[in-house]
Amino acid sequence: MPAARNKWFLLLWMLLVLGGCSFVDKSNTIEEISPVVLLYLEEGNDGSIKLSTIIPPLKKEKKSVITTSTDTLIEGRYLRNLKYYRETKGGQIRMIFFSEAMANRGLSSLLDTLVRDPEISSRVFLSVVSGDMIGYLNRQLQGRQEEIDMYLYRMFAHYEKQGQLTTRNLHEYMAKLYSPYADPVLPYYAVANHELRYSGTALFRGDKMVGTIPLSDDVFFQMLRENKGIQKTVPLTEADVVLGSIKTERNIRFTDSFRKVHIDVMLKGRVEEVPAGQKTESPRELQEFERSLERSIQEKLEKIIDRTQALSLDPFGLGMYTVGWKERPFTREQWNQRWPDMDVTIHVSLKLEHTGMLDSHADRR
Amino acid sequence: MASRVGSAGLFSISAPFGFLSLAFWANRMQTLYYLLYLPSMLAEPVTIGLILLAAGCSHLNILMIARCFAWKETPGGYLGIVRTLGTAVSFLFLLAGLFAVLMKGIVLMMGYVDIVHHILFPALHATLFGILLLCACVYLARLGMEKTIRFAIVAFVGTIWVTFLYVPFAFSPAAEYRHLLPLLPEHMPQGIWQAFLTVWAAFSGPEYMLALPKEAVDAKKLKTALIAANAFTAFEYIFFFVICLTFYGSDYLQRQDLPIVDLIRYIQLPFAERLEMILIPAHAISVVYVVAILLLYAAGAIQCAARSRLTAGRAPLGLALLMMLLLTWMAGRWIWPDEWKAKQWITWLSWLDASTYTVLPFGFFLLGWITIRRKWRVRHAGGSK
Repeated sequence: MPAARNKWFLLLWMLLVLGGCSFVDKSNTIEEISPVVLLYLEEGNDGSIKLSTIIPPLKKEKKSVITTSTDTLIEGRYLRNLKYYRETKGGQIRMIFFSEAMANRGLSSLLDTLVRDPEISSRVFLSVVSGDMIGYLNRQLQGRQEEIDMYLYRMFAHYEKQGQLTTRNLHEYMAKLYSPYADPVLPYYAVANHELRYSGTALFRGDKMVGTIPLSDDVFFQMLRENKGIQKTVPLTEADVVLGSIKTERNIRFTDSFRKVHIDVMLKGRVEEVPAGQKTESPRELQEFERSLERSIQEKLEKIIDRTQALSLDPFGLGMYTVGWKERPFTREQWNQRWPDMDVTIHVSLKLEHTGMLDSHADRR
Repeated sequence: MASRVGSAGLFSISAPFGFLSLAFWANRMQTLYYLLYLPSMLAEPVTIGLILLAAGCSHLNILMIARCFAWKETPGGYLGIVRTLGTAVSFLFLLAGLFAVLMKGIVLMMGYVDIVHHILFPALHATLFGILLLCACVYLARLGMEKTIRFAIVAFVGTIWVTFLYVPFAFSPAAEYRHLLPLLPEHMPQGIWQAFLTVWAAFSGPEYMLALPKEAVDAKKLKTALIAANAFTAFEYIFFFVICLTFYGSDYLQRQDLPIVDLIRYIQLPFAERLEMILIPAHAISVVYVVAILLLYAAGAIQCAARSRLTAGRAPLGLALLMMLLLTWMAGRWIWPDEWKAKQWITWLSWLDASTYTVLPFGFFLLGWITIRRKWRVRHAGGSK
């Protein structure tokens, strides 16, 4: 009995399951859809959102930038589908660029829409871009680099892996946005001379961009941002020195019932370029050299801290370190009030390695 | 195999259950649904203490359950209840049980269907999927109680591997261990009772074993199995909670609906993305397993309520299935399309689970104890005469 009945049961089951596709009112026939990889959002003249993307992505057809002007993100998708012969889908979005004006206006409502969409991964890269992004994309599509969307995605993925520049995905941004003791940041790119270039870090208060860390200070900003990191090149332009392969370590201590904070930054690495005539023959001279570099790095770090305090931002998440085993001394508001007036002491200790090479180099001169 | 099904009756048991069957059954029953919701409901790091407290209380309950099975003097199963409580009270008891089992089954299944509907197939008709899932449950349940319970091993092995996918999150740079502070409470957090109720409900499940006949379990084995299952459940809850907390931070975690599913979506392997496409269907094995057992319980309740003989074939199961189908259709029509109503039903389920897990083990223990005292007194009085 059961063998025959099982067969019928199985057949019925398969019919129902395989027939599942025909019950649905939404189909994803591959020829009919066009997954979006890159989005650029900028503010229109009348306060609307201008949504641009490259179509078709990942297909060997003539590519172009398509722009729609709308009030909301979802409406933008709808309007885009009204003027394109495929249905655009958000499941493959990898990068979202916001124009500076858009970032100044606030990103919350846009990002909430993205977070709520189960198709969109929380790993989508976010960044702020200044300059004529659409012009840049168009120029690239006209022959220079047709696969510009993939090119940019690989660049972002590489930066994320390397960890020396600011990269942020949707999850990281949102986690910092909701954290009571930290403010979010995004990478800041600029289009200049037909190039899109990493140009520092955009600082946010809540969901609004309020300032940037320029590229010249960005490497020092990174030293303060993470507990441990590595910087392959640290140029100290004032001292005419370039340090390389620097391992950085950050330690944070609060004293005087949270009125003072001590930030110890330990650096270990090599000197890659020194000014001609720099003497490091004796240990004392080497020590002096190290001290002078430490002072110069310390000044840079202090400048960054002053800037963030002036903007009353805590992109380093220092407030997290006030929380102890059994208490949370500050609420979000209290911390936001306390941080700008906090007494910050930065102590830099630099340990140069392979200084023997430096000596022999000096000898030959 | 199939020839032994059917005529032998749904509830006949040939040999006592093994350690693994019992332990995996209890564990899957406990973690099935709450695991997905618990992290965002708790959110604050101090609630790790609540999980430990609930695990401790659950341990006491388990000792009581095991004790009930160890007493030789008390009759077990349905007949035991009828003898102690009388026919009328047992009938009410049956009806209440039937209601509880059906409600639990429906909420568990529709909750899972809703997840699939929301994340995997937004265009698929949710009720239809629920009915398909129910077909799978009946396919398992028609094999009878014994085989269904032994399916625990498949259900456990088929879903436990998912846990390993989360281990890398503990070491990822996105994990901020400072989110785990403060561990000790400064003051009584708001809604602590609600949170404890949910955690307590999350440990419920072993009380369903009380309905098993005594010859189906070896009391000693049951005790160790349940203790192991309870400890593993507590470990699972704490592990997933810590992973979610370090990844999201408590403020962001509160805003997540299904943090565990969202976490898996964060994994981006070079050859595969959207791993939730594999994970969520794998979870169906556990859902089918637990709902199949609940279906059998409902069938049992119907059979007893109808006062027919215990080997009455599979008609009660058919009736239970009909009831479930009707309820699935009703839930899909009126409850689940409205998110607030669905959330309300999930809250009611946790109240139901919390109350059954509080009342049943203690009630059975008390009844058993009274019976023994009475017997002892009678014997003692007889002896003195």
